Amino acid sequence: MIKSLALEFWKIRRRKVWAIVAALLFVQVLWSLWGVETMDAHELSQGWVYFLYQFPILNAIMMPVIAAVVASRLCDIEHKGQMLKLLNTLMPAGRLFAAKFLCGALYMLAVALLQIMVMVIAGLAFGFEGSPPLDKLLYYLLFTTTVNITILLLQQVLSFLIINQMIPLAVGAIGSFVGLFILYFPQNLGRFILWGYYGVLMFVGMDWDRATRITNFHYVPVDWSGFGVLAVAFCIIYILGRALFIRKEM
Amino acid sequence: MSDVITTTGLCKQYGKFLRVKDLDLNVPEGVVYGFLGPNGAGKTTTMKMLLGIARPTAGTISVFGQQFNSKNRLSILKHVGSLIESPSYYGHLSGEENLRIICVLKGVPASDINRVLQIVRLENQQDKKVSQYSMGMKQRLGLACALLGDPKLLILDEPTNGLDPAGMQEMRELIRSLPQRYGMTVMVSSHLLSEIDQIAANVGIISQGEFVFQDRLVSLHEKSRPSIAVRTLNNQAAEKILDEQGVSCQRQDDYLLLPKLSDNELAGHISRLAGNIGVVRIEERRKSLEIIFLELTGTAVSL
Repeated sequence: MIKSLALEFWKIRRRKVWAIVAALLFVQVLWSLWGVETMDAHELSQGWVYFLYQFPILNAIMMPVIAAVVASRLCDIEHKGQMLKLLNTLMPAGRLFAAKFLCGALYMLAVALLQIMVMVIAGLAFGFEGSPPLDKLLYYLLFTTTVNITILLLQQVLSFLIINQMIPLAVGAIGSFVGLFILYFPQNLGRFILWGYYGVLMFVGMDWDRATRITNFHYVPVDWSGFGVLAVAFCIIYILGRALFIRKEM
Repeated sequence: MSDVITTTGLCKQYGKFLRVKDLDLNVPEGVVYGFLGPNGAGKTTTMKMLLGIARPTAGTISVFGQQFNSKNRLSILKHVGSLIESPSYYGHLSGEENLRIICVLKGVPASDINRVLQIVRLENQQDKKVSQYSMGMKQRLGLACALLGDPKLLILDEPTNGLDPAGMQEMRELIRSLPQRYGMTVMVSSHLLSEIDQIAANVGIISQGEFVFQDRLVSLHEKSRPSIAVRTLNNQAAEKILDEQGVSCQRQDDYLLLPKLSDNELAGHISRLAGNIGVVRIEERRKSLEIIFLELTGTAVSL
């Protein structure tokens, strides 16, 4: 499997997958840091929790697109040169599916790690109160990566099964809209939509006082049942998607 | 000579349409086997089934004497090189990088790359991106991929497609030489009868998913042996005279077709007919391979 994974990275040489991911991430970071510089003492005291509130919302907008682009870039190289029919005679289709997914998942993990790095560096640079909440950041890493790779998996299945990559990319774009708008609805509704899980697994709440116009952020209990549902959804998509890919005749 | 590929009752159905019907294929070891048929006859579908990238609806496939199934498919295919339809490649990588990927997947040392590049004469283009290759170069790269690891069997689907005349000839010579130079068995499909005639020792002709001929190419040539067509003033009487002489002939339009005879025998029969009835035409007729192909497949041959 390690050989197959290494091969996936070898295949995407000069495809600049990282550059597209970095560009989208850069936009997200700029967006998130907007206004941090002008924070007052009250806001600085809630800096860490503010980040942990804001990043999942930005993820709901950006990550479905990033996942769709990564999956499409990885799968499209096989369609373009009609490689699948040759690869199918050289390696098990299931292993190709797994290697491709792991390759994309490592990109998504790197994105989440980079986000945490940005949060920590920005928090320290702007003088957020207290030290970085490592336990909360680890939760953030776990939940963000889990939602990211589940969406990536769905995108990979679509990108493998549909030659025209405009369709999976459109699904990614629609997913980002859905993910954002579902945040305005009751949290339970988000449980029914994959892209809603950035909101479901958010563990920070916000109170906004209309009179004082002061915003307060606070930690809320983690929705482990939501995480469980997501894990089950991941398994179902993986098993079904892999079976469909293996069954596909070239 | 044992058979490298054997199929029994091989069928493939797409929807309601039976694309391949009860195909009993026998590819002997160490030869170039030409798989000939008009466009859409089911050649590619059959080859895909031989490689396990399309599942047969019915029938069995044996390769190297082993029954082909989903469990042993990849271990059998380790000794098979293939080029199906258009060549497979990563356009953003160089030719050498493409071959390196196949080397890893086949478990072949990277040193084999130079060998196959030399065979297909692509060594000077190996560092160029494949997207910048011409169709002929891509086709040769596809063949190089198939040759990596020195496979015992090559399955090539219309390998001369998209090549210019010189490239076609070069590819045909290369394919023809493979059994002798490397001891390979080559199964090559084409819709060009002249091509198969140049490179193959054995031939299978498929039409509308069914075999209409499978044997050595020599046997196909035997079908094209010449006959003498004679037209007389009374063919019925002439037929009777010839029959009395022990010569069975066939009627075709206004002619009698005589089987192959020595010049002396023929001269004797003709003078007898000329003396008794009157001979007005004598022609030598030979069925071309194209006519035979047409008769077998009922489809116009591409030349």
